[in-house]
Amino acid sequence: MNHPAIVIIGGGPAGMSAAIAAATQGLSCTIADEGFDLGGQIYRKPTNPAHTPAPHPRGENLRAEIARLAQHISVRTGDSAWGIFDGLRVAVTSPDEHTELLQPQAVILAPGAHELVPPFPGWTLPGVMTPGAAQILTKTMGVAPGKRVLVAGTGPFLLAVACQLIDAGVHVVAVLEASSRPAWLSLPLHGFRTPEILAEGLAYLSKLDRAHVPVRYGRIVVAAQGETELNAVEHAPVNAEWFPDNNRVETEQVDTLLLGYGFVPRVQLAQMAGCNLELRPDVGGWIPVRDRNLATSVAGIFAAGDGAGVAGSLVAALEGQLAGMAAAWFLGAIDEATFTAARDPIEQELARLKPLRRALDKISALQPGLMSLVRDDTIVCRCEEVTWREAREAICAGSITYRSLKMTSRAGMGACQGRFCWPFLSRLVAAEAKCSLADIGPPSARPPLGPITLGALASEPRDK
Amino acid sequence: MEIEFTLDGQTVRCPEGFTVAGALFHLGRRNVRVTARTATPRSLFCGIGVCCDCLMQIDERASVRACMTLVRPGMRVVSGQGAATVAHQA
Repeated sequence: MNHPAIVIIGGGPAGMSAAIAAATQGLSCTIADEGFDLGGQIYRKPTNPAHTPAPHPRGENLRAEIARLAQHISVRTGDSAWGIFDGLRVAVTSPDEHTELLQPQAVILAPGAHELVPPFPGWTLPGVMTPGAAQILTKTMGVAPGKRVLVAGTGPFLLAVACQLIDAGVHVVAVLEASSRPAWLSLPLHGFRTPEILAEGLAYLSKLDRAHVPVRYGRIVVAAQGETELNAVEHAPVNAEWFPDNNRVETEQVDTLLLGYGFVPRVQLAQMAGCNLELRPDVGGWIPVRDRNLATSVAGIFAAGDGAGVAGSLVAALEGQLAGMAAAWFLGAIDEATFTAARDPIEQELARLKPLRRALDKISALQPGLMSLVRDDTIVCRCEEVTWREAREAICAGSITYRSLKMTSRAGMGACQGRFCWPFLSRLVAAEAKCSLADIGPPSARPPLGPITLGALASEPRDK
Repeated sequence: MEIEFTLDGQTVRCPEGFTVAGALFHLGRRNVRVTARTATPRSLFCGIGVCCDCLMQIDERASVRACMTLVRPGMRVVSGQGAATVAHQA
């Protein structure tokens, strides 16, 4: 088998930029990404050939650059990287169920993030989904998520998705932003070095305004109603800590609720590889500890983009470049002077983006009121259908770690491996058991990270 | 170009390049399965293959993510039937 010098997990802006940087130095790279094409979620291409929205120029440029470097870059889209063993051996399974153990000399982790949705009454009803899920339906297939859509949560991504839905002709009834309007109005103070990003935000707001879609600040969704599908959403104004005023609940008749409170880095491969993690709620939770050159605590493993701390696509692309150059230096393809010369402008641009990013993180930081929505019969673990009553009883009986809560209540034991429940369940545990999130820790990460068959595990490599 | 496949035994069609989840929404159906424990309906949730809410039986294979699978001609898609399916698979 021909092993690449570098395996890159994730083909979004970070992974593509890393491959381009390393391949330009003559290193052979393999990108593994479960998606149908390169681009990650942000630059995802339409899969329906009849649906042709204007492609994102940044995504197109990165894909074109990868194509130009095809001699050095092997693209394995559709392939799932589900485990990392004995240092740098990466297990990859293709859609036709062939499994290979790639053995590179360096690994760049760029797996991205998934969305953060708190448990609340009714959140498992069909029709309640993440803004990202709805975006993929409209962006890649031209399919509407529903007829009347409410978008809620926090952060600029909500505005972007609401605008894309409007462009696709979907009726968006409102956008509910949990944080206050004054907090958002302070953004220009922090974003004066990044006027182009502020302009993008203003363009979203003005499009929503023209489409008569109100953006209501300081409101959160407190419950979803419906029998077999969503038919109404209850929302209420909140105080600075996002505790809702239950005397001022409004009910909105909608068939679709898109709910997103930010993103969670996908750290499972870093964790499985033995990289040290640190808790950074400001950038999404647990992230791999990295040095200035984006090296993790395990020699030869680098981490870039939202999967190493949520910071958006621009930061991800820059980090990808830096990680690609750092890996090239690590492998001896370039000398230190070449590396630092490449690092300087990347660091300068990261520094320019930082103040606005910090301010956005602060505005959208999760507040304790969001954890007050669960009722006794609210499901807190979607996979195993564990209610808050059941989880709380286990917590009160002493199960205050991921492992023990899983054993006693089954919460976190399902197919998502705790990725969706734990960001909130860990906060509920911390509040109930009066301990810190850092003490509770991240969910354990074990292979396989996604569903694969025993047949795929037992398969022979395709090109032995 | 339209692609023909079966959904719970019924012949249906969707445009080329649709995921199974997208095809269901296109057909006006959002429920993809009924859960094992409380027999309640679920649909597409995260859309990127992480939450595993949209698991369906596809071409006789259980627990396939509808959001990560493109519809192929003649594909046999069956919605998850909760406890019955779990017992059958066990």
